[in-house]
Amino acid sequence: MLSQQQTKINVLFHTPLFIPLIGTIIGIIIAQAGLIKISGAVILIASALLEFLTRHFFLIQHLRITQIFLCMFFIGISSVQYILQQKHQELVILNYSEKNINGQGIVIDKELLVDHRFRERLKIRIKETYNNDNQENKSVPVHTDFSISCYLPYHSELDIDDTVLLYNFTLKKSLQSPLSENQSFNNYLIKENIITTLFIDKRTKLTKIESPSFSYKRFLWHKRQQFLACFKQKLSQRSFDYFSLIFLGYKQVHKKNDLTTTFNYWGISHYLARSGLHIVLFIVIWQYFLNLLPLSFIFKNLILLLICLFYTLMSWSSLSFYRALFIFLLTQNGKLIDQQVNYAHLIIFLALTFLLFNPMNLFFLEFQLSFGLTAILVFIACVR
Amino acid sequence: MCKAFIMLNVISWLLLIIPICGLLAAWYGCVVIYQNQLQNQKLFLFNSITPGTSITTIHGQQGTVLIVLQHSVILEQAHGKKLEIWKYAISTTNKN
Repeated sequence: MLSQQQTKINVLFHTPLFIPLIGTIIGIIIAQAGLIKISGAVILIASALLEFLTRHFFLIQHLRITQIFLCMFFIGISSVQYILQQKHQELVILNYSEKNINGQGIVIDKELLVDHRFRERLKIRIKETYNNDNQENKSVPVHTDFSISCYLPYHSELDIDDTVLLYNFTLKKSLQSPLSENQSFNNYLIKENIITTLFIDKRTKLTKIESPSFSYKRFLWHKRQQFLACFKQKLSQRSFDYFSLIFLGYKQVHKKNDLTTTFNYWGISHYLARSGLHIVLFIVIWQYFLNLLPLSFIFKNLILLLICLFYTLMSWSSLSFYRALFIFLLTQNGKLIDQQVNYAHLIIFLALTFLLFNPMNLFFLEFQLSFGLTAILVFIACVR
Repeated sequence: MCKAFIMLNVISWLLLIIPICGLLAAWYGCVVIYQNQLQNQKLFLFNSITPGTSITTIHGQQGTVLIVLQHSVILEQAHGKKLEIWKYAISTTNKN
């Protein structure tokens, strides 16, 4: 009986990416604690690569040792990624803070704000800077790469993918050790890949240089806004607020009504956020309707896939939404190419990918709850 | 000053390249080397299965094989429940 229980628990270890994920998590934690430096991480990666090569050429078959080296490799790679992310932030702040600069960049995101002191929020990726203080070097551009978030007190003509010139702005030095000893805002900026927040006033000017003739991002943004305007016209204010929060994941709704207050009062405001479950419900409903159509299996699955992709493009995504969507896409892929899918493997693969691309995710509740809870559900389903 | 900007550009490229290398390494290290060893063993087991063989799956379920299909077997458990088991999910066989 005991051995059977053990085999059930061993299911998790049968998913090959389990050890890399553990390695990645350990790597990020020790990098955050400052216990490892880039040189140490590089040594770990190099020794693991050496082991893989020896193994490949001398055909040594020892699984346990490989697993240890695999773990070491991922500790190395994730800590390097974490340290580089921090270094990038530090380097930009070191070079630009408390200086007057002009910058040229591209608008990568635009959000219209409702019930807010400011009207618009733009995310601008600065590509070139010109130093304002030094008159001699004024015309010499310096290539760089960082993003800032700008709040505008008016509605601008700027669009996604426009090239803009930002005159006379100063990057505020963010407090490296705030008085409250709470690093979470700094970490949040690193996670969102934003160096700082800028409030555009009379002193700072923002002008458009050029606009591309076609940009798919701009096209999608305008289509989303069109849909939103269409829903707003056809629905009552309250239904529109609920619909945009729960179905579209759009958070800029009127907060003056009793909606958020009541939900906060009862402690159920998370019901207003769109989670991964919503995409599951969406799929189940569409699957039911597609079952009524006399079409082939492959065709039905392809239609479902396209509907889901369209829904994703037309809504505002979050991490838990992406998790559910990618699991669905990979499951559909498995069905289409006739391969078995294992949910434990898929969830581990996605957690690994999210952490490798943005290690800071590990310290945020969004990631912890989304992946932690799903992993526990998958584990219970495996053991039962 | 110039050195710092070159560093900045190099770091922003590395931030993109390193995770891609990591995923490639995971695919090579796990899916190719590590998985091959486990699967070869299971494919060998799968080939030796005929209707009537008793098998255990990696999920710990046991039963007798009713039908052998191309990618899976239909397993009948002691309490009469029928399951479809994929070839990669078979862990041991007990040939009678």
